[in-house]
Amino acid sequence: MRKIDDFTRPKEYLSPIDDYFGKIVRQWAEKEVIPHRRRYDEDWQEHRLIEPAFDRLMGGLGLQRVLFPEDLGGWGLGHSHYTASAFFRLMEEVARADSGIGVAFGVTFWPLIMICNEPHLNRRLCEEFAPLFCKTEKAVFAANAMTEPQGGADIENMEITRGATIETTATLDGDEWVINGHKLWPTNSGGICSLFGVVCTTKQGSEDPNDFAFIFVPADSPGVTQGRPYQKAGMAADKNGDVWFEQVRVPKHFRACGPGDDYKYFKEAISFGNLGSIAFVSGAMMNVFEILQQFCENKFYRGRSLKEHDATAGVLADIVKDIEIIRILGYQYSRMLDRPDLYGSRWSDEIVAKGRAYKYFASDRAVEDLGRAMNLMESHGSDRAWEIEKHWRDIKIVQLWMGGKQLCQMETARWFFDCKTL
Amino acid sequence: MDNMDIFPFLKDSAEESDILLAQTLKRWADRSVISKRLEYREDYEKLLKPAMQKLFIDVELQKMIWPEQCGGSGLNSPEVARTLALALEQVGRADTGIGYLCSVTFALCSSFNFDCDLNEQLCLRMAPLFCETDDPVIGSLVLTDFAHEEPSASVPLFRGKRIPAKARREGDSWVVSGEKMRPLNSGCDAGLFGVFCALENEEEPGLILIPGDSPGLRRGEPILKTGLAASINAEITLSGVSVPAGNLVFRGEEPLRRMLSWLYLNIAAVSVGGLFAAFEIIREWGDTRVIKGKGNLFKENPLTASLMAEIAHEILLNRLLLHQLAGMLSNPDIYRQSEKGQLFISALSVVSHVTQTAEKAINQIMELMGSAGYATEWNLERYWRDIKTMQVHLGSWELNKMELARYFFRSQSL
Repeated sequence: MRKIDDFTRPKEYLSPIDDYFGKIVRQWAEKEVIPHRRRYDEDWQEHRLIEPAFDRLMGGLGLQRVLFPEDLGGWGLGHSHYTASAFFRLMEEVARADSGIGVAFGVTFWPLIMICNEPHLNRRLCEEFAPLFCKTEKAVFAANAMTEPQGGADIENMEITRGATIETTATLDGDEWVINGHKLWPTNSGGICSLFGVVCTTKQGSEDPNDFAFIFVPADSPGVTQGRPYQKAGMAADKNGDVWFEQVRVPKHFRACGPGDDYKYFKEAISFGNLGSIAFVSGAMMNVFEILQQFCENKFYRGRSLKEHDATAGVLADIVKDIEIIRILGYQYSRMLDRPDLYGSRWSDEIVAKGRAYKYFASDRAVEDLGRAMNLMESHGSDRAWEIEKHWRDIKIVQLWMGGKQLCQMETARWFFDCKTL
Repeated sequence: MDNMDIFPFLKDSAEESDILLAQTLKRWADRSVISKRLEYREDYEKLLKPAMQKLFIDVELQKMIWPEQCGGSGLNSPEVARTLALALEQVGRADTGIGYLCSVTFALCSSFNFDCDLNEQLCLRMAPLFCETDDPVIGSLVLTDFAHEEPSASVPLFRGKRIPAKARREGDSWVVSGEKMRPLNSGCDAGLFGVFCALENEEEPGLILIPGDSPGLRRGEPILKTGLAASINAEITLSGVSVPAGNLVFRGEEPLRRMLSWLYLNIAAVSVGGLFAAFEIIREWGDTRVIKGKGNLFKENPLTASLMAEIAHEILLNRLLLHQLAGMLSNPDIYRQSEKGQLFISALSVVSHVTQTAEKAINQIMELMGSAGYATEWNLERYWRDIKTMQVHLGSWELNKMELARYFFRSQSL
């Protein structure tokens, strides 16, 4: 019988820690998540069931430390030449068990990319924040506070809005930034965040990249308020909520990269967001394959197992064809991020646009395939017990976040066709 | 503008009373469900159960298709198809789960209380359950399974599908047995089950009515599922349940297909109602959201407007299809006499198309709304989960297509 490891991966450029990551995370998934995940939906507010799995993965196994330099207690992944390939494998394995855990874990790295990755490693801020993540056995969550009430993910549509729609302000007062604003939806908000990376502007309405600021704000700073988590269709492990910043003061050096560079390197965070999204889709679809394998082997129609029914086999083939392609695409994009010498910088318009294209291809295909898989399983397809509907709900969320499909389409068209006004 | 006006249907065939009923149900939907769902989400006790009480008892939907002589409203002729289409649209708009319960209940009762198939004795015996009570009563069906677990030749099959229960005749009774059978809905609280059974010593299987309080009927634990919160489903086991011989509603394929045709009509109507609700949500979004900075209304952007147009296009076509099917079912003299099985094939095609395109349309609306699409606060994602759940309850589309192939191409071995 085929295994998920039979789906193709580019063996010639896997990261040196690929096998290690894969092994420990798969063991964690089998023990800490898969036996419990069908009860996660009821745990969306309290995380009594979910929290131990996070603690083991991020604190116990130490995976929340991986981006920081080794001398600060990290694993040095941020200055390696396989950051993206290793990240992809890690996220794929976690998402096979639960993509909600995958996104909460992955997003913890999201603001840290701004300060841990070469060539813009910010040593001072790494030293500042490394102890928070590296000297604990508990899971510690970070979040990117981007989306705002008035225009949703418009902020991520950087080529058009260029920061002009950002209403959260950062004002320099002596040696401190004073931050005011209201953010919605950050993954890892809803009360659990320890460190925010806040997208803000130093001059409201400005399209000057120098006015775009990415500033770190410890969640326990006076003036930071996290609302209760939102209830969603899926991804119970991922808490999202409102966050208010009222006269929040942080040191001047908490700005990630500085004028112009915050704008530039924030696009790298978007590239990693797209890579993570593809990894979540790929991981979840690996598990969908496992579920379908079990169902279609052991359910019968006219005396033959479902997989031996030609029409059903046609659907199964369509689904695995897409899984195969999504995985190859994810690794290809990882390699593009890992080799800027060949493909261009991670923050270039080209890399961002291609990431958007791959992300929306992967999530569109997966959403459609999951719908077909559920239909193939008849009423069992909507049973929580079979867990395929969980992936259906979760992957729909992946498809919709980060500006959704339309933003992906516009960025893709803009780069390939040199559109000027989209 | 009201949804009943913006999306056309065959108004020339609708009675004034049908329109009035739909308007009453719209008011019920707005007051009993839509205005309260932000507070109660899908809470069964606080939202769904009180709404069902009003719908089934106060609005008297529970009595609607029962003969007058049995205490019903007397809409027990096939002409009620048009009434049902308009009514269930509104119920589905409020809550697709409640609409689904109505769909199955009406389909079950249609099999013995419509004047063309009237079983008067059975009607008189079952009517008090529905017509002389102040509590909602839900009907449920236990039908054939496409995919089943036992490959052995001993499993009774009907057109390749497993027959879930067996019944043997003992004097004036049928004794029915079946293990861990999965009803279409409400295994925990249905008041009446129609169970498709292999009949001992008979070639054709049949549908037998099993009242919910029958000795020997055991209900399992509630099944956790994606949607349809109003349907608290569970497996049921029948251990030698004895019912009067007259509880056998029908034998064979043709009456089963007639009943299924009504089920499909009802589910298609509920799905169109779900699309109406989704339309209202995206219309509000398009009227109020801005993109690409301040001042650019969502509905004025060519890309998003194009997708919104596709969604409206699907709703419009689905409603036309639904009411065409209602017209066909309401004219059995014309359509039952045409090619054998045509009505069933039309109903199967329409409900499959409506539920599949409804899934696609709501998927697109969710895409347009981004994170709000999956936040329960916006009330869209519940329709997405409900319609998908109804769709998978219709059976695998891959295997349902075999029915179409058999009909259109005379395939013999499928």
